[in-house]
Amino acid sequence: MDTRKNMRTRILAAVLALCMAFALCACGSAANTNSSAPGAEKIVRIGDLFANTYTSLDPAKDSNGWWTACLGISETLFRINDDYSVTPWLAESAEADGSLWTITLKDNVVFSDGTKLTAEKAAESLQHAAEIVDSSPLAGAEIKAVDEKTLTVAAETPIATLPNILTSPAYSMAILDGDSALFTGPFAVTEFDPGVSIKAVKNTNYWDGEVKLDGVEGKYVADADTLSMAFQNGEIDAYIGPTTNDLALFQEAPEKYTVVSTPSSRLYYYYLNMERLPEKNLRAAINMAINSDEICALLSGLVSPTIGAYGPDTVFGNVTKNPYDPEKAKQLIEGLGYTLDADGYYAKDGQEIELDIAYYAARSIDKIVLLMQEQLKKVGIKATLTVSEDPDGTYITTHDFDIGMYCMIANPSADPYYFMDRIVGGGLYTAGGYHNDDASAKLAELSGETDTARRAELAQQIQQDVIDDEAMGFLALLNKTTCMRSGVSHCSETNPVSYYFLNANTDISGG
Amino acid sequence: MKHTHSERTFWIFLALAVLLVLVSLFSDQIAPHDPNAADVSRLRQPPSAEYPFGTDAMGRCVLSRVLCGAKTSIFCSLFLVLATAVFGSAVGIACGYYSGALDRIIMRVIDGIMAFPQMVLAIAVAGMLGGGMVNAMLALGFASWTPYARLARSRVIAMKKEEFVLAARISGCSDSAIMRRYIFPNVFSTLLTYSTSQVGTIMLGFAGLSFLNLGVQLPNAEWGSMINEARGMLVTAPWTVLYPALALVLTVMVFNYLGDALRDKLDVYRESEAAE
Repeated sequence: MDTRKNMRTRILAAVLALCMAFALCACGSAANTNSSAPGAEKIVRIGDLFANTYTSLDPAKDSNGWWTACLGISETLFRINDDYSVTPWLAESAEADGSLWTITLKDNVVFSDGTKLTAEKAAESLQHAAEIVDSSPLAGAEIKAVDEKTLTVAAETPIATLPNILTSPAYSMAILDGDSALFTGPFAVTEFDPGVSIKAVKNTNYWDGEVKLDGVEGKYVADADTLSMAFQNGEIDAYIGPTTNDLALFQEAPEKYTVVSTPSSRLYYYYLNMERLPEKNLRAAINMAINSDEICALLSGLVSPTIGAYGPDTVFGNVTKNPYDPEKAKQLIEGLGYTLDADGYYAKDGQEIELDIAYYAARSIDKIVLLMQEQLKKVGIKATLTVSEDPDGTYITTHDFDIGMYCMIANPSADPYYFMDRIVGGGLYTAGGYHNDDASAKLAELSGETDTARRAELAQQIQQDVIDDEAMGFLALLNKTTCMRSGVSHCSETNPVSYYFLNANTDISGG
Repeated sequence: MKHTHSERTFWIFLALAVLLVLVSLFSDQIAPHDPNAADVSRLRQPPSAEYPFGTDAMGRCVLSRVLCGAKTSIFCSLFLVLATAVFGSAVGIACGYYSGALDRIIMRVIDGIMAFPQMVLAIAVAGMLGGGMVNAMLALGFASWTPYARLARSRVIAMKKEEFVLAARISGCSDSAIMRRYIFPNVFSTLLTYSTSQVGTIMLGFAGLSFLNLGVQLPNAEWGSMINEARGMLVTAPWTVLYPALALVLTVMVFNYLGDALRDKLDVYRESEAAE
């Protein structure tokens, strides 16, 4: 009886073990691997941490154009090259005559359904974007088709850098029809779940050669670690923007992953509140206490050092600033009448210097502020940290900070006006309350200047004004770091612009 | 035999719990380095003689942060358990003693609160209040006082018809005196056992909220936030995750076992009393 009972128990255990084995097999990653066997469809899947914000296919609305551009779905009349030069893409050429721009289109560009990109369609796209894009330089401009391949843009005030402006994905060529849209890129949208995912297949009518992939997919992933895990287990094939840990992990396994970093124009910087920190020498001391080389070391591989708002190798980057010098910083503070108290902080009349660093926890800013807090502590400045989920809705608007952290693309269209206008133009992003008549005059000149060399010179002078007035601190430039699984290639990885990702040459094999 | 065993277990875990409390109390003195001092020249260093638990992604000493995190985790948990136990017990004793409409209303409110899983409710409250340890305590406190009230109320309802309570009432004792002198001492052991077992749960709750960035704020150390900060480094620098996780597991285990041992000890005590 006992033997029979034991046998039954053993059989039951064996069946349960078998079930468990099957269950574990089902948890495997077989379903996640992207088949590259002969005859199988070649699809590259990308993940994005911000895809939840892409809620429609209209490239002009919000930042939807970034997503369609990333996936090789939409294209613009002009594009930014690896060296930040701007060249025609769907356009053939552009010529300015005073405030009138004449744009000639390429002959062979068609939308994914075979409809030809005519000047009329291009004008409609630009007009639509001009009406929707916030503070569009094209707002109010007269945009009209002259003939089938020529259109003109006439503005009351000259638009000095129209080709640069038209590199923005917001000005992508599109035929919009309700919730659907047609574009000219190598991939055509088949499924779109707003804020969640997008699927596109090879555009068989693509105007610029053979498309190597059969399709692409884009997914929203909410968390950087989840994104990394999805990449490692094969749920996605490529993504931009790994964390420092992931970078080290991927670089240790070159047989599995390819990682390419190139300096981009996303700038880490901080505002100093001019009203709350009126003493220039105190602001100078703060700037001298912050060691941006240490910040680059902390985010090793993810950022590149910078002095101004643009990389030192760019035409706008020739500026100088005081080097990191904690001793000089202490002298400046002592020169203002402060003395070290028992806690090791500078104080005057019993009042310690206590700075509020406002920040938001994205793109490793939380790590940067921790380091800055330590660096300030070393020169005797106490700093407290205040986190915000929405910097634009809080401290950037209210100016409720001593040091306000921010991260912004400083060079989105290979032209300095965008960022210079933000930091000295007096709008929302002149958040420290900085004003300098000389810088304002140069900004006004920059807005209408058509000579590229002079524009670069003005941009450098404005940055130098900001640096000399100790109004801000430029910390580092985020690299565009593209991670690709083995076998995935040509993901625009050498281009510094983040929205150039998948394209007609992107391929997947082996892996 | 059983008496001796439960007695010994209780004293062992009590000693361990006291040791943990002392370590956390003197963590600033014991910590070999400044727990918040970042140093980019020693990022993610494996354990060594100078840094026995290694360093984290900011170059901070993990051992020092684990020790300072102990202070936050243990003291906040003990304080919160005490606060919720006092508040919940007071409400429960009053409800059980007086009964009536107010009792029914309070019990329905408690039913409503207890309808939600404790952690889900705490996350919701902390999400509304925002980050910070005080808000995390309020959130967990809001979700965790109710069992004390229920426990105390049910014991009081059973007890208030007892002869010693009636005798106290006849002899002219006021309601508050009856509750303080005659009822509370009789529910104390039950509440003490429950609250001791809750220390570990609350500690995990704090760690959970900090893991979700709803607890302790930068740069302060807390085990949950340390695990959250380091979770991406499980492969590249496992010591940054494992040591705070180990500290959390061991501390929760000690307090849970202490609660069990206390219950066993009191059970044995009651059994002995009943036998006599």
